[in-house]
Amino acid sequence: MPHEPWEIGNCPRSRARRWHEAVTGATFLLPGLAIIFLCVAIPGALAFGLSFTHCSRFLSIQWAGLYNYRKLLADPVALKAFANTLRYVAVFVPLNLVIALTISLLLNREFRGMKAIRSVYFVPVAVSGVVAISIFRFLFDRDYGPINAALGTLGFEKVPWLWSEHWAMWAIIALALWKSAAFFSLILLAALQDVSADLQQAAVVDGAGPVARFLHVTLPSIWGVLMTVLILSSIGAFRVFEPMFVLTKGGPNDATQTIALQAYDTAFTGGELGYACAISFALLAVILVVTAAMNKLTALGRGRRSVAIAMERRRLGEGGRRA
Amino acid sequence: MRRRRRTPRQQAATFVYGVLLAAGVVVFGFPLYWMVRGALINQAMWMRVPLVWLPPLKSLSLEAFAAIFASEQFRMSRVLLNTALVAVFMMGFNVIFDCMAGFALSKMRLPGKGLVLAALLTTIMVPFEGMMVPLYLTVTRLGLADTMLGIILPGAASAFCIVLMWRFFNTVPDEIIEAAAVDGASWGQILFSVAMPAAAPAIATIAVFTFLAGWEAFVWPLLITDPQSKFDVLQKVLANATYASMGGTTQTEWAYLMATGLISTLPVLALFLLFQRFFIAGLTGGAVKG
Amino acid sequence: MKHALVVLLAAAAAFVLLGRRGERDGGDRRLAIEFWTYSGGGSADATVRFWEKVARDFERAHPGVRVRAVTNIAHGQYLSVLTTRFIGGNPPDVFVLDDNMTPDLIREGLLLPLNRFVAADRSYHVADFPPTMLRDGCTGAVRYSIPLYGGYGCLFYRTDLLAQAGVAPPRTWSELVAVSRTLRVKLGMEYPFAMEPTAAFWMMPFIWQNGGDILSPDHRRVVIDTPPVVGAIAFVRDLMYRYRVMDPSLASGATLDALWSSGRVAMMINGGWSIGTSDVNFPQWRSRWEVAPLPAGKRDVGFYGGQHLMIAKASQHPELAWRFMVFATAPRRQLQWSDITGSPPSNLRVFDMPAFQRRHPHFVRMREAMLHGRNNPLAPFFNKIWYGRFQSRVLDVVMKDPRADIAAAVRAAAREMQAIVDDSWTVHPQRDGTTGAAPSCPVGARHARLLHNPEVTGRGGTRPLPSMFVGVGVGLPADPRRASGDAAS
Repeated sequence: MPHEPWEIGNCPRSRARRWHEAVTGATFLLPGLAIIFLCVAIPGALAFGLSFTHCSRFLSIQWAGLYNYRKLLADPVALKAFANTLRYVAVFVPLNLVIALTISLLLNREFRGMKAIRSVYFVPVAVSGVVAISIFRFLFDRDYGPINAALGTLGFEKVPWLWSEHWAMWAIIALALWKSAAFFSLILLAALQDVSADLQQAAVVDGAGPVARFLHVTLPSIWGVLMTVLILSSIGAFRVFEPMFVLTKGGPNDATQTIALQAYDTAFTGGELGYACAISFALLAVILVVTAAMNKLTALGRGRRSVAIAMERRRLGEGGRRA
Repeated sequence: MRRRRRTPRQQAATFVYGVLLAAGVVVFGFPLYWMVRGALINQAMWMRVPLVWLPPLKSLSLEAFAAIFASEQFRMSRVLLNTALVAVFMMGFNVIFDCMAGFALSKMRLPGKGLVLAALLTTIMVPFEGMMVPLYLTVTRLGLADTMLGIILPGAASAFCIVLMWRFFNTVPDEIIEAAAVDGASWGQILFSVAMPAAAPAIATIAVFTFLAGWEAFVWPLLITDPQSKFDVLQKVLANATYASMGGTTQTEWAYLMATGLISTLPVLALFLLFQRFFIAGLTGGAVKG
Repeated sequence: MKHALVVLLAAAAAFVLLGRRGERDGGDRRLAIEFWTYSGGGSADATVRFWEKVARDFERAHPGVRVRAVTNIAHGQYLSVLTTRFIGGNPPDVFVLDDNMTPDLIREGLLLPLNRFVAADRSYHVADFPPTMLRDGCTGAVRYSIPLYGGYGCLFYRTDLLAQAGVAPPRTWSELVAVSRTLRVKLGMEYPFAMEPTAAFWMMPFIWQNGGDILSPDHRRVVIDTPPVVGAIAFVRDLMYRYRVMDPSLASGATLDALWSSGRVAMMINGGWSIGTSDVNFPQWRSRWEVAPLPAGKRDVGFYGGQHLMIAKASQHPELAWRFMVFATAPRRQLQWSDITGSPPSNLRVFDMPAFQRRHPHFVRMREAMLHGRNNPLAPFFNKIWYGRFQSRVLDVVMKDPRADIAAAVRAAAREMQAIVDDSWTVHPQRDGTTGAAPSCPVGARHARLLHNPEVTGRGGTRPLPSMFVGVGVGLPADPRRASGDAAS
């Protein structure tokens, strides 16, 4: 009989049983791991490896050393893509955080009808990425879109949004914020609801005004989640690809070109797979570095904050006891 | 505490709060309205200037929905079937494979478990856009270009979900497993009859998460399928049509795009209403509660 | 019971997952070849209809053979999808490809040399096709593709308007300006001439006609930073702002079709591919228009871009594939091509057929243009430098602004283009299959007769040919310097 039960208590398992467990465990792990190995590990390694080669679209490979990376540093279009992506991140991430936090604070009340209001705020989450992109394409339409119609009634000029070098990126940022802020506000709302009501109450008793309460009770309590949101949205912002791909394919005169899109273009239109892998790997590296840096920063922050919370709690606790 | 009369300052604060809340409702709800409106009107009404914010009831029609099923460009019946298959398969494979893996990592003695976990956590960090080109090369080399298996394979297991299941199984007490073992169950039986039912909330989370991922999949199916492929999925069709409409000289009625979008959104909305709790947990990937 | 359900589910899953993209050839014991081309898409598309017909006729003529024709891929994605098939290891047997995409495949060694088929097959007459198209299918002494179709640039003109003004269609640049001015004076047309000034595609013939060139013969240097090139660009811009015979809004998005349709232009430069559909798109001008070769500059150079047919080296049935290609380019089939798609044929024999002359009178005028046509430089990087860099850095900028410095823009663009060319040569050093080796495949002596036939050359007698054609037509190896037209003519 290949299957033998454990024996509870202090009996050591026999080698055969341990072997059987290991084999079964490996079999359980196998399909998932195989897929991840094949579809994540190998492509990741290829992105690294192929970036040091010249690889034609028909997969004829030649060693290239650092050629592709040197080319990357001198390629105006690729550099513009990097610059665009950095600008996108610099604008998107702070706005995303602030808007998501604001929304979650707004929604953190309970009154009749709040459930319905919340479900409207979560519409962007129910709508898929491409559908949102499609809707916004029409919202931003030059001649027939409601945004320009509203601008017109207010007396402004119609803006050619997605067709203009200057405005295309802003339109895309608006679209991305619409979707992303709602999503992260969901997370922050749940975190806010977790904030201990006792702590809040104690702070009120202590005479802290709403702003002070926010800064010293709420914010420290949700700091961890806030930092998670920060990191996740930064990673997402660096990777941005879909809106540009669906709407502008790099935009009027490379205005909306991003790193991921550049990797795609170089590979499938240009047929330079080695160079495309160098760009892909650069993206990977940038994300890893930024994530690691943010982790470090938030760990420091969290340390300080935890101390602050602990001190505050102790102080309030003493106050409570006294009362 | 007796309710005090509100000070002007408090009244102002409430007013501001109300305004912000209402503004948010408009900002987040309006695009949905625009999609529904767009799906129900014809191209002439789309292009009416000045803009008709609220089209009269008698100008509404469902012909866009009928047209996308008949149209060669949209082929909605085939495309819907494909998308449903992709979503179901992705959900099915993930539930099975990720549970197996998570259970093995959590409850079974394996050499090198720590290494495997570390490797999995690392792969979560790798962004899809960073490896989509080599992934395309790999899958094409395997002969899976433009096949259903090719679309599903990269999404059939998710390191993120495996880690999720691992963390959840860690909270399941070992005694339950041991009890089943004492009763003479094999590891397989333990997994399917004891562990998975115990992990039902986490499994529901994964199921929703991966079903949505399959339903809304766009970039990968686009890369791996031919143009006008018989394996087209919803988002790809919609994306192509949207880009085509950017040029301004397309023959496709814009209502068709909005109708496609609406059809794509309806199952998600249904899931949301039915399984709200798991939906939220699924979306946030359990990031909300630990 | 539960186990049975699981097994059933697994079987269904396997069936769905492993279903292959096309029809299974399992039960079909016929020999099968796969043919690919691109089209505008949709089953009503003329190209699709033509190839379906050819496939079915071929099957009827060769029982035991099945042709699977894949015709609905859009042009922009064609090379990508083809590449996927090559990478996956199952390329089509015979397929159509644009001239400027072929170098990629030649370089990778993916195409089957056709010399032995041409030599052995009596029914394929190389001399039936224009010499320039034949040359484009040839690298050194190896033939990799045969001509299918060439779209030539032409001057379209309104016969009624020109007759009314008492002018003949212009044959040179100066005549173009003069005729346009006459039309303006006599008929009150504000802008009688139209072309697409910002299309890099249409700038090529002007550059060549002015004696300039884009790439050096060995395709290693970008040579646009020269007075003839700048002069050609200046001439086109002058048509808008100095001579004022062309509408400047063409530089900012106005379309040729709209202007031609409204009757506001009497002459336009467009492609021969529009000839067949002209009466359909513009029925108001039926029998009131005609085509002529492009007006000549210092040189008389026409312009074309075409498609060739080729066989994948990995094909299992090369003989059948060859027979299919010959079948599709035979005169009768080429007549059907013109009938169904409205595009000109490449087989010169078709022009002699009375049915063709009756049904396609305009094409007959095009024959002359076909003998003077020159193609894009067939280099793998050409699309990127020309339709990418040159168009956006030079044309998009200078055509909108009459005071923009053309020479400076060209110089800057040339630097960028040279960087791309250098990069391409580094990445693919010795395997650029289209340069250095001048085409020397035999093309038959009949071309010599064709080229000196006044009927063919049209305007009353032989016209001195640009030196680039010397050597082609009698089977002698062409001098690479003269082949590029750089030598004094």
